Amino acid sequence: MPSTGRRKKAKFPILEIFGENVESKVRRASIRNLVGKRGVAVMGAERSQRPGGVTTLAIINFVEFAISLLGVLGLVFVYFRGAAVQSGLSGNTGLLILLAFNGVISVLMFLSGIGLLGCRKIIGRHLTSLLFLVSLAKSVWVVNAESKQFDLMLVALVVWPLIAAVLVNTVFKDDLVR
Amino acid sequence: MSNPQGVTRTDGIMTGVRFRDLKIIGSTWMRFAFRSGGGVASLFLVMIVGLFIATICISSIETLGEGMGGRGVEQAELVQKISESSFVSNTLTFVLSGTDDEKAAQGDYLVHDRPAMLSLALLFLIYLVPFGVCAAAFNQTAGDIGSRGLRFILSRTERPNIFLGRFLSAFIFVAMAFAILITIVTGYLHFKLGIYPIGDLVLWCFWGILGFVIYALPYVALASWVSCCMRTPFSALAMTLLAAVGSTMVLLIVGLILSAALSEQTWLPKLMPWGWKSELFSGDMTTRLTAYGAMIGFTGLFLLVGLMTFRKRDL
Repeated sequence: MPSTGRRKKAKFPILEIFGENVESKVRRASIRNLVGKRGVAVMGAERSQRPGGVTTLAIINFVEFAISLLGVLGLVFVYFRGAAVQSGLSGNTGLLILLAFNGVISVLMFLSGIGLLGCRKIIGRHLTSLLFLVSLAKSVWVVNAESKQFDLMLVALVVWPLIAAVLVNTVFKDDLVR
Repeated sequence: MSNPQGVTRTDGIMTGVRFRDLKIIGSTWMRFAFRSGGGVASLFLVMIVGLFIATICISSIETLGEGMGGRGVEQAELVQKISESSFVSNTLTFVLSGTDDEKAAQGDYLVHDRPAMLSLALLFLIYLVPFGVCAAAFNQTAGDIGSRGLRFILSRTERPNIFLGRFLSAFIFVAMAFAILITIVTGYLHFKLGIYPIGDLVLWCFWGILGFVIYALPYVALASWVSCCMRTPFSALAMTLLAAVGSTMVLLIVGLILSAALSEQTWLPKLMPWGWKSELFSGDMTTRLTAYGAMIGFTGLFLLVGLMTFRKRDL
């Protein structure tokens, strides 16, 4: 019996999405389960596992957390040495606000990394979105209120959280549900 | 066309190519690239390393510009002083290729006729293209060939659809990543410094994106070819880097040796796409179109060889 275009379209992406893991799927289930009506169920089982992209995002978060932590420690050192004015910041208040921003961002990076590894909805997906908002707020504050040290690296610190937030709310939305 | 036995031959190199299949395979590969982590990692590489390179390039001129701007220099004069700074001229001498006269003419175009800071950023960032493309496009078919996963797709479509669908998808991914990067740099130059007219910046940004996209084309095709020859993603990455960057290094070293022994060999680097990168931003439209044509030629060659390899490949 000739198959309709609709059935072909339904099967095709399933095989493509499985990609490299298709052989192990065939071993576990029959080929009929994979491409037949129950193929959707197999795809659902696949989605309950953590995709490599989420793991990559989590690792990047941990690396950024480590770098950010060094920055926080540096600011703490500056604060206790009373060198805020020399570093271009308008007094201790500005330094404290910057310290608070960096501290919150560091904590968010660490927590969202853990959440992404566990495929968590709140501390994975939502904290990644919150991380972007806090990074944006920090950049706006630095540009407008403080020393106006607006450079491309400050843009980079907003761009990557934005990309991560877009990814977790689109491509990985159905994976971060626990 | 019929052979002597009277059997109709329909197995041309592009037989069975269907737009619908290309679309499905392409869109699904891009989603799979993100889900498997390769796409995320390459996007991170392009964005963060790209912005870091642009920061290094721009900040030195920025400091110079801010210093002069702070002393009440007019905007036009500031642009002129930046264009004539020794940092800019030294950088152009290092980055541009060709004879001294060609370098002087192209440098003059890039610095005086176009926004100099964006030109410099583009010339630096273009070094990132081969690495960014290798990171993004290395695993087009290698992983699926190794796991025999492609066998299940072959029953539903022809081989060229798989090869070309994934090539197009990888190309769109790379093009979008570099377009975003250049747009960010252009936006930064406008909002932070504001010394160039917005029209000039946008126009040069467009030409920059076009140059990057066309320069990325042959490298994506090369990655497609290498990927279909390999069985594991890691070997595909290593061999793609070797083919894209290693071969260029060999050509440059041979060129240096020949230049020392005979005369300057300006044609030798042009055997690979790397040798054409500065011509992509040339002020002479004929030179620029020739460079575009060369990139498309390289792409066609790599795609043809890759497609022939993939058609005969044991999957």
